Amino acid sequence: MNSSMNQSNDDHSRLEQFISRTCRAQPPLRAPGTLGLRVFAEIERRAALPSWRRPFGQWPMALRAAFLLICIGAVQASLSLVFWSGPERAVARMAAPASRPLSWIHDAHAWVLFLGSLFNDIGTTILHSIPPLWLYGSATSLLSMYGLLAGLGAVAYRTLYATR
Amino acid sequence: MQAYQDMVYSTAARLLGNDAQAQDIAQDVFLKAFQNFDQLRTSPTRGGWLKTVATNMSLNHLTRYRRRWRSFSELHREQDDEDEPALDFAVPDTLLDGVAAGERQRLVEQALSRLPDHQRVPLVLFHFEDLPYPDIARRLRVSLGKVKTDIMRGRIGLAKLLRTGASVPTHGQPQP
Repeated sequence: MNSSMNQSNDDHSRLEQFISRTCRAQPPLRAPGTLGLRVFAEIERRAALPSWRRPFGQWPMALRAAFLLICIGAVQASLSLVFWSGPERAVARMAAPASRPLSWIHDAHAWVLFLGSLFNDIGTTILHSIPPLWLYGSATSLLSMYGLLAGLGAVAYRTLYATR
Repeated sequence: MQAYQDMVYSTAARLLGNDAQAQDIAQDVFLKAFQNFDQLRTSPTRGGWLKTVATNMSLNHLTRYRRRWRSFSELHREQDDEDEPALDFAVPDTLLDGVAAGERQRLVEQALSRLPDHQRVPLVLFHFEDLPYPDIARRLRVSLGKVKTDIMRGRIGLAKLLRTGASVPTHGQPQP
């Protein structure tokens, strides 16, 4: 028993040394001659892009700051729509006297709230007008199709790729 | 770039086992190097930097594009026992001695590309990139025992392929 285990360890040790020697003796693979051309072509293509189509990290600092401010504003407006919207409240805000300074901001805010609540009402009305059976049927169909496609993908992978 | 392109391409090609993907990764590595050109131009360790980036990008590529398939194809392997695989043949030290250098290089690269990902990747990290077992386990997010078992199985598979001459060509394999 012990001698067979020792033999197995020796075999594995010899195999490790053989593979290690073989791998170390391998020279690097030769890169395709077109690699350099591809890299330079991609550098030129990226340099020709307008700044707004480049990665966010390469945008000018002012543009990045403005974008972040807009995002924060959009998030705030969305949260306001969710928690504060209501037709009465929005209309009341629209009808508020314009005597305050920067009242146009409040007017714009009220319009955003009004439109948000309008879309919300329309969406709710449409949703309620669809029979529940249709909704459940659609959800079931979508899930079934997803499962079918995932299954087909798995079979294709195991048949065509995993057995290579 | 010319001084390092073979090294970068080799690293990606051996990890990915696919020529087209290796070219894409090599391109991305050099684009990243271009973005950091000012720092790398005078750095004495730029070769190591390029190799590390090539390794990381290749591993990220494998993780990103094959995670979905793992749930179908390799899940059972995660649950494999971590026992030492049996070596059912003796490997003579002279296995490749009679083979010409160019042919030997081709055989080894071909055999490597035919190993399954879960054996080839840790084997390449261990034998080509000189990473220790714990680092490989950490980077591949698998257990230490699985890494050791997969590398051992990879060695056995590689030796078998080399022994039989790995005569069946595969599509998309890296060419020496």
